[in-house]
Amino acid sequence: MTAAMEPAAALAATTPVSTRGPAGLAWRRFRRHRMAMVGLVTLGVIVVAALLADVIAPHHPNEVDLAAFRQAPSAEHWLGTDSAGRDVFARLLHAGRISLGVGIAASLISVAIGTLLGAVAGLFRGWADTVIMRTADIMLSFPALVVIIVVAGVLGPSVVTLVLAMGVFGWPAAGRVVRGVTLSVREREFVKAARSFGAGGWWLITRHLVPAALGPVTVVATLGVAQAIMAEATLSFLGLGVEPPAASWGNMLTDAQNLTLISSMPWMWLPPGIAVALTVLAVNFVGDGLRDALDPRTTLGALR
Amino acid sequence: MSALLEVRDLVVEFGTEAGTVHAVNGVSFDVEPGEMLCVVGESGSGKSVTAMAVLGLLRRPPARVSASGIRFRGEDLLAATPDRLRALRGDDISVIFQDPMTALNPVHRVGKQIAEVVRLHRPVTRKQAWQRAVDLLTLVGVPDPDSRARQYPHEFSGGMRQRVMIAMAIANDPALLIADEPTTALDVTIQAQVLGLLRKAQRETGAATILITHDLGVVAEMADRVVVMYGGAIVEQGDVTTVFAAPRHPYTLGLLESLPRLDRDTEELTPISGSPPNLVAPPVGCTFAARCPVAAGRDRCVTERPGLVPLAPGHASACHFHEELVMAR
Repeated sequence: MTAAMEPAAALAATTPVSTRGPAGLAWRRFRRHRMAMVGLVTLGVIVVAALLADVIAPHHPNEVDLAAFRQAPSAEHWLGTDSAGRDVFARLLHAGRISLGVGIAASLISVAIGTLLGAVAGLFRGWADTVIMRTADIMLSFPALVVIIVVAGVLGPSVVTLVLAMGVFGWPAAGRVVRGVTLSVREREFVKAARSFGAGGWWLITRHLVPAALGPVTVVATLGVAQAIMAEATLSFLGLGVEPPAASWGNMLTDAQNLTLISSMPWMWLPPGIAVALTVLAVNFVGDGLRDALDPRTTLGALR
Repeated sequence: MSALLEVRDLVVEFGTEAGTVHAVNGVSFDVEPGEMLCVVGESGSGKSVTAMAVLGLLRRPPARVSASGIRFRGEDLLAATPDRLRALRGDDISVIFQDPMTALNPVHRVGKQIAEVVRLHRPVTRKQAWQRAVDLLTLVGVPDPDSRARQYPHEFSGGMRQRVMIAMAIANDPALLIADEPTTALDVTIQAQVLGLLRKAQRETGAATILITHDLGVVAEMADRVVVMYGGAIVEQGDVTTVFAAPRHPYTLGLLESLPRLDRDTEELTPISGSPPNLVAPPVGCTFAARCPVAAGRDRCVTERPGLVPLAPGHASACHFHEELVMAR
């Protein structure tokens, strides 16, 4: 072997075949964020409990036992029974499915719409930008909850209506974020290079703009889940969301409209209330952790 | 034989708050199939803008582009639809950018970025495109291409990234390659490798190449023909040996004189005094008159803009007094 070849061979041997991409680096930063990890674990427990509701809960959530209504917690009914004699623990877990599902679905819809419209607005500018962003401004100037109440009132309360209404009215948050990212990324050299290789608008959006916006969008989506869970609880509490007998945390709280129950039977309204608060808190912690992990500038110091 | 690319009377202006910038003023040139054409000139002479205008990549507004013809294989690119231009870009005509550090997307694997260029223009599967990417990395001399393709741009050095850019540019066997100062951002030692690679790429694909540079050393090394630009216009063009041995424009002469030479013993280099013209308010006469030793005291240089006049087949100069330069060197 010649002397000249040795360094090259040594270099090839020590160069790690690294595949740690941006996502891997973000995960490493996320793991060091204590509150975010607490939130993630809490959320994990809640999600697993909701998914395994049938296995964990000893009773059917809609099983009415008129002989045993408004019973205090016991070995038979861990969290007591409600006014119709249904097992509160079983309803709590099954309600979790609905509440989490509604929250995630609504957030995904609004983020999908917002990402697409934001990228189009930022990339093409001109009239498309004006129309999209002014529409966003108009939607943000409406009190969202009132609009959704009206929609639910007109179309009739149902889970699907609820998800669609929240999804469609929630897009401006993601739209603004993605437009901002797009405006800066479209000036980057690699976008010019992609154009010079013949890339068109849709290509740029899917290969360059959406990946660049994925970080901030994930944060918006996570916080959107928390908001949607709260909105679902509010609407169901008012009777405009998930319809009984299906359980959601919001409509379980309906029982708390009765002063007697509030003062003397906390097992009927305290668990769903705690579930909402805990879930929203956990989701927000995860969102904060993601924001820090996905924006390297804020965590460079912490990483060192 | 008809030219691969014909550019006639190209004018590019930019509307800015300070006024209209006359970036390119009536540039005409041909690129023959398979040749290496070097466009040389200092910053702001209009070389990059000319190339970008040919590809339709200037944002309009602020840019205004007009010409009596930009024809690629006889097809008028100025009249082409955006869809047609997209189909040409990256397929028949492709570009290598100056700074390989920023021209690759940091969030995608290198192999994917090359494969995407193939998939933009060819009906191939992801797998075939990936294989093509690995083959291209092999071709441009990236060692261990299989695993390097799976890496991200930040794991590549500047020279290696420029190899990747070249791989992307030749991915679809273009007929015309435009390299916009491809070595300017690189270490001197890497420059020679990248230039060598460009040569190889040109041999492999048979592509005509427009190499934009401000480095006369690169021109001497690479060019078949050279176009010298100054103040948004061509001041001299011809085959490289003629232009270097017997320049017929004072600007070309000045550029050559300002280089260090091994065959002459001089204490100091000869700079071109002054600075390039203000392109917002270009002079009425010759754009180079203010810095030109030949023009000193001559009214004609200040009042009348010289056109490009043919001196010999393929050699032309835009100087009223080009005869006086015959004896100069």
